Amino acid sequence: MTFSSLIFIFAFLPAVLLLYGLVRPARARTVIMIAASLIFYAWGNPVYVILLVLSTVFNYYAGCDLAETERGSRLQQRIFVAAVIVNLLILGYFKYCGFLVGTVNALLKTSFSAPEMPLPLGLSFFTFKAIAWIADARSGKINPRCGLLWFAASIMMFPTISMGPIDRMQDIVPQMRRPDFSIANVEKGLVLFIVGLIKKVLLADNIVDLYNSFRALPVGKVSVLMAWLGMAAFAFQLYFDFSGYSDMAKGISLMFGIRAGDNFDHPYTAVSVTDFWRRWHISLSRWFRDYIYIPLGGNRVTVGRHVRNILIVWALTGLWHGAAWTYVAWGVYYGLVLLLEKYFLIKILEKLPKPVRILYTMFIVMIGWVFFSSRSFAEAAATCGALFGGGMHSFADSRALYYLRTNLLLLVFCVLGSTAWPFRFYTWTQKKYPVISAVGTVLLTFLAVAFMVYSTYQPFLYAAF
Amino acid sequence: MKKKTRSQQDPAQTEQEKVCIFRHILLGACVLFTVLMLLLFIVLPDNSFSEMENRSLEGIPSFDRTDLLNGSFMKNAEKWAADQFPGRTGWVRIRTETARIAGQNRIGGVYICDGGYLMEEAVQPDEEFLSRLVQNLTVFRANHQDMNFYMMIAPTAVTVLRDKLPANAPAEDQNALIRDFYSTMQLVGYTPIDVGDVLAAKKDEYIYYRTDHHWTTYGAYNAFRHAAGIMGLDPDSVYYNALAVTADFNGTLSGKSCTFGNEEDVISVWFPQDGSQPAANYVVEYVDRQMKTTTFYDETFLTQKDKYSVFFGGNHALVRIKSPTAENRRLLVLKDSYANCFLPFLAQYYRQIDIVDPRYYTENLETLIATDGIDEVLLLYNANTFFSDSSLAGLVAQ
Amino acid sequence: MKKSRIMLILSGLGLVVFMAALIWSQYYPDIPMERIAAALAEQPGIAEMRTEDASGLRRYYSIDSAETEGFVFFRSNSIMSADELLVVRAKDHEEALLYLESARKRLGEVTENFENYGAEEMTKIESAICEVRGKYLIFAVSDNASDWERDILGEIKK
Repeated sequence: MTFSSLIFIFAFLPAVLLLYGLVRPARARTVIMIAASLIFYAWGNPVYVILLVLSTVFNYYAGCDLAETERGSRLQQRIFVAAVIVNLLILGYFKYCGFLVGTVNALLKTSFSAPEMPLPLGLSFFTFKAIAWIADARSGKINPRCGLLWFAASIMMFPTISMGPIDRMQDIVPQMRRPDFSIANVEKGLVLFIVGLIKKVLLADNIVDLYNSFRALPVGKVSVLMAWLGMAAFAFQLYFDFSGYSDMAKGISLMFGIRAGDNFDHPYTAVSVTDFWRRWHISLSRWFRDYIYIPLGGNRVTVGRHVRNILIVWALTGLWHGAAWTYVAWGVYYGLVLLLEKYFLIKILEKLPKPVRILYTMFIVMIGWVFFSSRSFAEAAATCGALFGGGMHSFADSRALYYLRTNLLLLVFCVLGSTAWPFRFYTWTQKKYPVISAVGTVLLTFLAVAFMVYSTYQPFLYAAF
Repeated sequence: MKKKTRSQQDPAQTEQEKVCIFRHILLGACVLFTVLMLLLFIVLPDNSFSEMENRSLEGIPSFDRTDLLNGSFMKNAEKWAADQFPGRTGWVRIRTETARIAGQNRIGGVYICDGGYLMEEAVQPDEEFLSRLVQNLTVFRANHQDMNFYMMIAPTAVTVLRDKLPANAPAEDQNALIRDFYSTMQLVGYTPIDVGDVLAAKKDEYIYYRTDHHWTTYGAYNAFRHAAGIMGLDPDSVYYNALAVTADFNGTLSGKSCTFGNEEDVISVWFPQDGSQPAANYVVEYVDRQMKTTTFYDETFLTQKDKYSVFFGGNHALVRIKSPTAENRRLLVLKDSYANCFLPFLAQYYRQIDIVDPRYYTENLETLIATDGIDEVLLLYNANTFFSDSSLAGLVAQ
Repeated sequence: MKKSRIMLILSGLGLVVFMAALIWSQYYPDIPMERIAAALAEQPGIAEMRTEDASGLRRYYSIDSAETEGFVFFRSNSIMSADELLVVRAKDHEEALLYLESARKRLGEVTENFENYGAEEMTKIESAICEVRGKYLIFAVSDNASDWERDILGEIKK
């Protein structure tokens, strides 16, 4: 089930909310949350529910065992390493086997075949939540013996299981014990959910057609304008899809009285790449900072070590996003840019006017997206070639103009939607003209429903296999 | 300490109150909407078929253990919820209109053009497809050196009526693709029939349907007159009257583009005028249905959605037209649905025409050619089907 | 031992067992095509179908039988029925994946051909099986498709 499916919005979510409203005690509500989350998880692939449950139990007791073992002792170290390895092995098997096997084959000219299992929902996310939990248990930062029920509900809860945010479980567990479930929060959560739904269904799912049209063209036929339009479409689709989903996750959590963390803060208005990464996928950056970067020494080491730390963290960040060398390269690319900014550019940047800084940042980000979206380095290079002109690429052809004209309004909305203004305006209208604002929101929701229904419409379309 | 006067307290409070009003209205509206949709979903009976999509709609999913375990129950449940969502067509219409207001003029691969015309985009075949097709057709021709092989690939509206396309629409020129293919096939003995110019000369007339991907009977007739010259037939031996058999034809492209309220099309059937000399007494044999009639037309389709199937009742694996009093020429036609309104013009020149649709024909083509004494072969397609359907290459490869 | 330690070890073992079972379920040994053909011969629905040979394989799937290590291909005798079953034993897993592409194209064609014929054929087509297991491509369109698949896989994993 995804948040933008009809059955989730009209059946599942209202049903669980109703159940929450009918029972009072937090324990009962937590049981309902766990049951609902298991159903939600099983909806995608029933067998993997076993994995989720086993992993949750394993990680909870790992945390407990670590807290009960003498801190700093060899034994505690061993338990910690073993537990982390178990988590990483599972993640590695599902996500990285193909990548590993492919690389080995390419290097050694062997032909091993990798298993092709579907990826369990939210594996990368709950694995990271679990590792953070046991790391904090080991260092004594938290008391992990809170009760399996509360831990399970916190890590499995369906609003955040599929795409995060990667919150610290110690922030969620106390809320699960005493959820702030109220009409006011349901209303606030609803607004946030609708905003996220609109981002995903009206913006992301529509601008993606432009990107797909661009990618379908043979690279020789792509004009510079078309390439920029295509990559801009990708940038918008990725942002609105992911931040939309994060908004929906936060909104739904709030409806159940749980405050989840922020994941995005208008990243396309960042004034430097360093600033960008404080605004994009915030929970992930924080995880890497707290559990890889700082344990490696962070920046309180020699410059050489610092560079090494940054590159390791960013290579891993890239790898987390996808099992391919293009993703690793994307990560390392950012590592290098960030180092450059820290040691040289930041002083220059501070003197430049804001629009210039934003343009600079977006330029770096767009190049990054080329690597992120390409299936191979060759494709990435070809796309860069198209973006910067050169020989065979015309500047603007009739086709690019066509796509520009037919997507103009959508692109304008995307650009506006990337800034903080629409939301500020929206909150202002809520205060000044509540009725009009509510009616407008309802109309936009209807529009979102219309688009969701359309996506299930298949005139002469064949079931995608 | 000076107490704040009521008017000074008010602004902040009323703002807070207003936000509450906003939130309450929103929650209320959403709850009402959800309850309404759920009630309608439960109360209204399930639809079993969608005319616009031309497919059957999902019913209540069966609840058994294997389906639950492998996830297919869930997929079916989602399909059921989506297919039976109340007011489905209305919601799709809202979406289409919104997309059009936002500037979109190509939906579902169909351009929305001037004059109420809908046009399907042109197919771009890939290298592999083309080389297999060329290879198989070459072998086919080589096995029958004694026969005349004609090939007519008709461009569709997107090329001929390109003036009506939205500005800058990236529509490839099918004529270039067709002529390129012709020059290759001409070298191995196919006689090409190029109707691109003939159709272009009539582009301001009603040669393609507005809401359907087919050409009109008038368009087919113009192509026929040109083809007749090449195939050695006299097009002036018969004169025709056009008779409109329906004026509310809403074709395939309406559904594919999810557009509504399109101006409907007129389908005309062309009957020979009295006093002209067609061969009399056709017998049309529908081999798969084991049925024989004396007419090319199936009027039962005029009351259904797919009115174009009035011509020969749609596509069949094999249809034979026999005209005992015509010249003793026997033609094999490998075709798609464009031929359906074209073939009545050809019928009177041949003693027998075998009409084969490669998508449905499962027998051996060589056997048919031998058994029925075929001496001419005509390939009759529109460019989009010809360059995307692999069943032709498969059929002739035997 | 403390409770946490016991639970930790138990759940750890549970994970190991689960992953092992999962990995085992992915493993498809290599067996000769004849065994699969024999297992299928008794299946419901097969006897009424027509057996196709290499030319049929080439015509409908553009697969050259000489490149494979065996196949069985059944098609319905009636043109009104979409029933079809193809099992191909490829040289290796990569080859099988290429054949999967051909099978998907075939599914698209079958869908196009039958979309005007009506509901029953379309339900079969929508729940068609089109997958690769190990070196084997399995393509089945029929009300019996899942039974056939189960028997084929059962035979392979014996």
